[in-house]
Amino acid sequence: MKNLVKFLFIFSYVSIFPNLAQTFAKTPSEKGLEIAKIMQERSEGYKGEISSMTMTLINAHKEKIERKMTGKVLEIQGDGDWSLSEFLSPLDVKGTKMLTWSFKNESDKQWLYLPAIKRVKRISSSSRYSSFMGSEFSYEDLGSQDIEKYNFTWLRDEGKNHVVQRVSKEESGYSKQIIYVDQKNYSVRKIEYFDRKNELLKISEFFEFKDYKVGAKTFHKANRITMKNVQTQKESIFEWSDRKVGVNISKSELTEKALK
Amino acid sequence: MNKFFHITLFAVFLANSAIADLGGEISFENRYFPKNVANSTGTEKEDYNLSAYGRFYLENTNENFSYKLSAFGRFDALDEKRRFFSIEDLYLEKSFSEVMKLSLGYKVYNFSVLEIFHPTDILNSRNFDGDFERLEKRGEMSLEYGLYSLTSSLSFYYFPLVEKNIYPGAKSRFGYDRTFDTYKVATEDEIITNKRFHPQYGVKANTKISDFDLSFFYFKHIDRNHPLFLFDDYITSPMLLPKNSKAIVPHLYEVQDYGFSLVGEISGTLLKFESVYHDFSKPKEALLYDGARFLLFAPENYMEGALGLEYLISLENGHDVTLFAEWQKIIFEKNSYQKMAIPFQDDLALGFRYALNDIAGTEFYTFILGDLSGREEGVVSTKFSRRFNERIRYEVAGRYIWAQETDNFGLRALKDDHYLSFNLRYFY
Repeated sequence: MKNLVKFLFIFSYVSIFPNLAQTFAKTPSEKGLEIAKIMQERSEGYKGEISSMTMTLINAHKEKIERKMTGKVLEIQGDGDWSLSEFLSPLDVKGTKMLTWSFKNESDKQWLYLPAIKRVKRISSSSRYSSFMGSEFSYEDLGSQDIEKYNFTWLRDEGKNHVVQRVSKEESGYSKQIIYVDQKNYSVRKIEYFDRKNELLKISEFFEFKDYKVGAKTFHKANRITMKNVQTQKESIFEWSDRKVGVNISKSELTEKALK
Repeated sequence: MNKFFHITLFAVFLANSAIADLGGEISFENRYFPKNVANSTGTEKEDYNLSAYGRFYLENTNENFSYKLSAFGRFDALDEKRRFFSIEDLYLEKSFSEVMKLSLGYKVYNFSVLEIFHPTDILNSRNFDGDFERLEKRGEMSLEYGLYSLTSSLSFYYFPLVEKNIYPGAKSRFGYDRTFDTYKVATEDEIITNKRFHPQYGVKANTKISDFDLSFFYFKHIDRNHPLFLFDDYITSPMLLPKNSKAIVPHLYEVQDYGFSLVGEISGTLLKFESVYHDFSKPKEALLYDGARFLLFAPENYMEGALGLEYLISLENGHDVTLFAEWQKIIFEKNSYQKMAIPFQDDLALGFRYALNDIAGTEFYTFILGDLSGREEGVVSTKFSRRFNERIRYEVAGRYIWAQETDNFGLRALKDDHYLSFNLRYFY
């Protein structure tokens, strides 16, 4: 009798557990989404950020030009962030300001103030595929990265990173993006961008991580991002300085009133 | 009073210049007009236009208080009428809270949302010897009180002064063969020469609804954008005649403007619309020669509207192409002389901007403009600009204008005003 019970237990373990394991195992999509949710959760709660930025553009002949700007970003609870950037150089675009309102469930809204003609121009959402100030970064790369806008698929774990594919649910300049996410702190280390023909177009890498403490939470943020276009050999480098995270910014500082 | 105000504000700005942001540009303009018709002689000749243009600004903004000074000047080697200095901004601004702001001083107001046509740019005097799509405006002395929310704003304006327009001189390519050193301000009650003080006011509301940015305004002001060139004075007996047949003076009429503009996005295409209804009430009449006879004339009410579409295409090589189409239409009850003051009466402009997005910021900009009412007239304009280095940008442009009609309406005033230009701009 005792042996029968033992047999039934072993039988049930062998025959039932694999099914249970199969039931609870995550699909690549679920695992990809889970990683993306952790990334988002870790990036939430920074309140606001102000910084100075330098963008270095390098062409295929290795000629360089620097663009300097200042920026402020306000975290909107439950929705996309609002940001305001002002260009300080080159001097012919000095004073140009860009206001962006990002949304989780609709297209971002953008306005540009052009000091040379003293006008505020609305920018269409189709501009998200275009280059940001002549750099290898597009407006799409720098805009809202809310997880609601993408489908995620976990591909593999490689070294210390999760490798996740994300495909935009909206119209995009890319067929897919492959993201390398640090398994320890869930910060992005590298992104490979594939063009609409599914060929590798650009590689972005993240460096100079610093910890920023806001309340009880610590944010692990890159202060240098490189973007290399593997098809044209052009490169752009985005660097932050004087970065303050956890700053209280009022919504009224990020309205059209602030543009003029 | 006016000079005292300028000097006081200049002193405030200069005293604070050490902590302010300072910058500007110096531009060397070189235009070549292949055909310049002098009305007095009827002769045609080639003409050059060599000038230096400078703009500077000084501004300081902190949480609750800001000030700005920006001005420009031009020195033309050949035309003394193009030698001038003009203030664009000279104001102090104080925010009393997140929702309230007060500013006092000279300001340029741009209400238009379109590239080529600007019917809602009703304020500010301007230089009439400039590109029509990029108006060269003078600052307007104003007191502005604004109330703001996240998605809306309401601003009240008071303008005590009438700023002078800058008209092309006798030597200009327009060949008017006369200078317009005086002007007349015409209201319901009077017509006064060189009137400087005249109360003008208005209100403007902006709001965002769904994907659309909307704006509404009302202004009662002196219309300087559409001056009417009428005789200075006249006699009625024995018949209607000018006292001096050469004394034609720009008449600036008081008008009530009711305006509206909209910008929205539909499937990635920007839709833009703006319109103004100009109500002249009961203006005083002045003498006009319509080509056949002398008659007393007063401006009539009319509607001016423009519609625009803009679409941006990002190419796989990283270049951007922005396509745009704009149509302007004015509606008068009859074929009024007033139409002469408005070159674009039923015109369609099609154009594109091609940006290479390279480190030199290389850009091509072209548009073609034609009349839809059957008049043989139009404009082709093209411009190439590129950054030479961090401080210098150069620009090569060309414009061809055709105006085959023999009346004085539409683009006739700009007939044969073709040019080629090369501008070198140094930024500091």
